[in-house]
Amino acid sequence: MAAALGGGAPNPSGAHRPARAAAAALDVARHAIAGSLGVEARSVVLTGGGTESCALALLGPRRPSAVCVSAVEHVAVRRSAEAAALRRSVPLIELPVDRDGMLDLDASLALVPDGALVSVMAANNETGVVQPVVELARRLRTDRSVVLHCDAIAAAPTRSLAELSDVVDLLSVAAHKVGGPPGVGVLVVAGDLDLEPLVPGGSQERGLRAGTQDVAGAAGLAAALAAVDEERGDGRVEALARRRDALGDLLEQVEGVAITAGGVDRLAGHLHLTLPGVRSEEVLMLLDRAGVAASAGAACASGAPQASRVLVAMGMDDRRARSAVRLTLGVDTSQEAWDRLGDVMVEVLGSLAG
Amino acid sequence: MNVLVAMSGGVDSSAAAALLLDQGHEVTGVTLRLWGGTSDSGCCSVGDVEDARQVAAELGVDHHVFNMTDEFEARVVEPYVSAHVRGWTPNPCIECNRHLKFSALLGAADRLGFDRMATGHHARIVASDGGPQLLRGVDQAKDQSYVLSMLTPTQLDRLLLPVGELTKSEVRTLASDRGLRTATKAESQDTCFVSSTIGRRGFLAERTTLRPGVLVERSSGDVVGDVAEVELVTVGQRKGLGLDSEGRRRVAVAVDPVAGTVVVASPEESQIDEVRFDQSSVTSTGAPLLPGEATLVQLRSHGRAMPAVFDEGRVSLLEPTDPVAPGQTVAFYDASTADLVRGSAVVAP
Repeated sequence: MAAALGGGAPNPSGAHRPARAAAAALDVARHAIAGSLGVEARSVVLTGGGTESCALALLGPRRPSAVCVSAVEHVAVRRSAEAAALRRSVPLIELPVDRDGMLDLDASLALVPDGALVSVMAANNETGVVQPVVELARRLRTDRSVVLHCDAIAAAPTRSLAELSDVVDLLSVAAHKVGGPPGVGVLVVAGDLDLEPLVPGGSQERGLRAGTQDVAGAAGLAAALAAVDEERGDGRVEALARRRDALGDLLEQVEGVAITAGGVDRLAGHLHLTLPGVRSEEVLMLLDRAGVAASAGAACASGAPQASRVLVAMGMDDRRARSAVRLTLGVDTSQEAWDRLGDVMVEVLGSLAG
Repeated sequence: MNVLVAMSGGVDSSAAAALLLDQGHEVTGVTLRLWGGTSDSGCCSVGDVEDARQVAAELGVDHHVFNMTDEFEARVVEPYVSAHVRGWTPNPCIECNRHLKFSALLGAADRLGFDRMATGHHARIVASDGGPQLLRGVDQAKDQSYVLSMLTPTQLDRLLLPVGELTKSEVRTLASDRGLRTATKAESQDTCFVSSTIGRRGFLAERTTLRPGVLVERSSGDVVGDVAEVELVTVGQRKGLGLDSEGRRRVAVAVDPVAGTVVVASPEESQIDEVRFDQSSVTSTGAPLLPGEATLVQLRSHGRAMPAVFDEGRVSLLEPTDPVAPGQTVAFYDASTADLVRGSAVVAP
């Protein structure tokens, strides 16, 4: 990132030498990002973060016949979908999920009308459950025309997105989730899909995202994506999933603990569990005091966990949903840290379950 | 000690946290998120949670937010609405204290391994041979012992009320000296979940049907006027009845939304010399009051305590006073140690 700044932050749209250097650095970053995502460089639209990418994907398409989103989308997609349905005066259709939070494909296919804008995430940010987006795309496109957006923000750190980006029209990624800088995102826009920009202004990013580009941010995202590519290549992600499963097995021995969606394909670093009768807040406070930063999965504006909409959509009762704890683990966690985490979790869950 | 401080985002609980730190305790702040709807006052808004978080950061203590919106809805808001439907006047602050702050939160403090819980209420807890005693705050004008009068000895045992020893101005000075952002914050008022934009009428109208009714003169049984929403009238109310011209002043003495009547009487006739309560609602902070025992009763948060005699299900007042609405709390104080809280009861119709 420092190199991309070149001792300042010149505007890559300028006509002078520093500007040309910035434009070149931006071009390099864009190509690298495109390479990591398995798309053409011209499809890469840089934005101010994942939420903005999702907003552009949902509010950009000019004439959808309906807006269809899964019941477990992140609030960034959900709220933009609601706004898009309102703005375009079209119905908002929720696509159902099963008890694991996996998209119900047959039910969804029956609900999506021709000409719809469809948004289904690559994997859920809370439970880590991987959605059948490739299959959805294939089956949708056999008999209807749709614009398909995929929020791949949670999946990007541990999953290759090349196969997904091949079959969807729009794909969102956030830099900070892959270890890059916050405030930088990408919306992959396939082909010549016509989108209405969110903000009027200059013609940067193919006219889809006005405003001077953040060259250093783009370089940071490119570097972060390259790093996660490497982690997938050398087996560290598989090792992460194995350690996650071992921790899950350990915690399931605490009376009452259930691992969420333990039997389905999940992101390697995600471990989501419930312990009915115990409150998420209390688990989190004890974990925090023991030096473990976990979350309950969803937070309102004041930071207080509420029963997660995702879990409610999965048919989970309120008492269980209010006990949810989500751990997101990285490939660089040492074995000592894993062992300690296991000990702390067992102690905390055991003390509150008693 | 390891103390969990309930921080509302106001100056008093901010000062409580600071005082406990100064006394050498290990302090953790917690703020309850109580209300999911919109609100602009009291201890319910996102802004207040943010203030509490900032104060905790300024003091260098950990801060957590507990979501108790479901409990608040079930234990405070729904009873608030159903009380109005019956023509009662509830005290939501006391119900919140009873069921949330000093029950659900105190239980959490125990489970989480805290030695004590603290709040920023202006009242004092002092040790005695017979156990902890609850006393009025040093600042009589800001005393909040009335809204704590339903505490039990077990709860008092686990509580700290550090600002009760200070006057309000001392609290503000302390907060200001520490550079806390809440030092000059206005006091919360009214019902925290009822925003000033919609008011009590708008809030209740969203949740129930407010019914029109008539004003009935108690002595004659004559209909002397009408009222747009019976549920909004409170026993003891004088203003807003359309009967406040000279010589015709009337006070509401009974509210019955089902019958659609508000019974009124002249200020003189409306005076009461007895307050009845359901004996099962009686709580004691220590030794229970005995039938025939002299006591002092306070019928409003900032009312005056009046001499009375306790009895099963009622207190006899030694001097007549304005009528008090069913659903309100009567706080009992000790007849000889006037600052000592003895217990509480909920006024019956």
